[in-house]
Amino acid sequence: MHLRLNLADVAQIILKFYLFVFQALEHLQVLFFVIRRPLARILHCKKGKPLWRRFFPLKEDNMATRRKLALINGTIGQKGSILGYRATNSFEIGACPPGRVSVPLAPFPDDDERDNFDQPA
Amino acid sequence: MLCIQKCDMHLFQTEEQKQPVVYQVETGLFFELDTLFKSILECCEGLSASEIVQMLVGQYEAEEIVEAIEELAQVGLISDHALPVVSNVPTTEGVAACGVSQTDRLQVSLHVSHTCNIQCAYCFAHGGDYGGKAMLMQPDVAEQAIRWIITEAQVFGRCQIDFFGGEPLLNFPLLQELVPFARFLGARLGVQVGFGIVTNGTLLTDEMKRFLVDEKFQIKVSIDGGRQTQDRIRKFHNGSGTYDVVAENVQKLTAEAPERVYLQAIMTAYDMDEDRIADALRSLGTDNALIGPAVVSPDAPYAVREEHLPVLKQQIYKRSRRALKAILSGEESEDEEFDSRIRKLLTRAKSCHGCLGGKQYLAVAADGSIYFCSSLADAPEFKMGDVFAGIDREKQQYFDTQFNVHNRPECKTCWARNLCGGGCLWDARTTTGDPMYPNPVACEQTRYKYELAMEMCMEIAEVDASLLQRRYDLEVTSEAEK
Repeated sequence: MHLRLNLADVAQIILKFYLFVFQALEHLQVLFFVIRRPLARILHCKKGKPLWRRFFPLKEDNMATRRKLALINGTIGQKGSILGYRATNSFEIGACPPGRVSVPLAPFPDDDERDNFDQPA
Repeated sequence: MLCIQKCDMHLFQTEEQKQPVVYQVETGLFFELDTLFKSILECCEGLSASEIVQMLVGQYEAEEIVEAIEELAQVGLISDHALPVVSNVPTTEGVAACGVSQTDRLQVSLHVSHTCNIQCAYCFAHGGDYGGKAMLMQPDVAEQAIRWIITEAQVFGRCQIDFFGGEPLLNFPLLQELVPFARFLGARLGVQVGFGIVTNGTLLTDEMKRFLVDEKFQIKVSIDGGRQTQDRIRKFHNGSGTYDVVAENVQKLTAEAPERVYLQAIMTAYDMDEDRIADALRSLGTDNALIGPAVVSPDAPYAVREEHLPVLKQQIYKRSRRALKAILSGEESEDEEFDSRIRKLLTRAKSCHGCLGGKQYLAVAADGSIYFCSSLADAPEFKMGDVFAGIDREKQQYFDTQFNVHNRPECKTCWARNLCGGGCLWDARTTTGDPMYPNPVACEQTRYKYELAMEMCMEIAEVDASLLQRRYDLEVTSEAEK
């Protein structure tokens, strides 16, 4: 038995094929839209090394460590300048270095009646 | 070819710490580094950027090295005229500048007694008389001393008068007269007056205890630890130990005012177990245990010397861990030493002197002479006038300049100079024979403590970045202000 295709059949096959390709491409487009960022990260990072090299490191990856220069007693401002800290309370060190002869500083309560400066001389 | 120069810095990594740290001496900033930055800082001096790349390219990618060099230049750790100009590194303006008051009061040790009822092997006061005549301060001298102190304190509005000796309780009747007089005069001249006392604790009667507690004294009792340690060094003139008497009196005091009683131990080579000493002190009823090394000639058999440094460092490290644990759990540290060092590092406060001696801390000897501090009241060269003629301002200015840390030969090249300010002059004079040259054993400990304090900051920041700001009441300087 011979399969006979007339012109209409051929046209239908071609049309179905094109529809299939078109739909496939559409799906691929959606899929690509979803995975484009992770894919970019896997294939190449803008800064640093591709992610896959974390799992399959090259020789030089083992030698280098994570880049870090972290300021501890300050912070980086919005304009990129380094900003320091200042104490909001007064800063007292006492008379001597710790463990030496002077007496630790006495607290001065604000409500001590004996410091009433209005008493008559 | 332009060569790279490092700023004045200290690059270190203690045995216990994983990450290296670099401290920038002039700005007071410190950074946690990784090995790339550390490698650059270790090898960069005198090399060009391309030479550094060539040297490190086997270990790191060239692009990374170049970026790291630029980052180091941006924060001012290295410089090269070809590298970006450093414009965003803060100066020390706005930071507590050298010589500026760091306390809120004038503190004066008033030597009401130049004699003592006990003898301590390491006594800097030569048994109480400071190498002169054994005497008690006379009422007319004492009255003038109070007048002078309160007048001097008017500029601060506050003063703390610490009764000192010898043994000040040998002149207790004078104390009873001076305290109300000082309060009266203070009230008249607008000066709030607080009191302190340093005593050996052997003479305390119930009347004395009542007086000290009622007048809200800061009471510092000298006691070196447990019975064995105390009795070996601190004896009555008949040779018997003082521990039992002192311990009993301290317990009575701490039962009434534990927060105002401070127990000061002097650590000698005879007993260097800080934990044991601190436990012995705390067993007497207060948590205020202070431990300091004996300041004596290195030739003394009980002197703390260079050979003891490993033991001392081990103990310092243990204390730092305990302090870190307390900080991370939001509790008070059992000793405030690391808290104050961390605060100083965070605020980048600079010190040009090791203490406030000669300026806001002075001593008045039993004859009315004014000295740089109590510990130097045996040294005529540290006399700065007397309470009748007033303080010798020229001498005060001379001391300020002479003992500025930037004027001291060994200090001016030390990375920790802005933090410690040169340390204790009395310690320097006693151990090296010259107040200009600091005690190397003390210096080594001070540097180690600051290294540990920086590492503690890193660890705290890693756990909770805002904890440092919260605990130490810090605010960030605004960019506009800068």
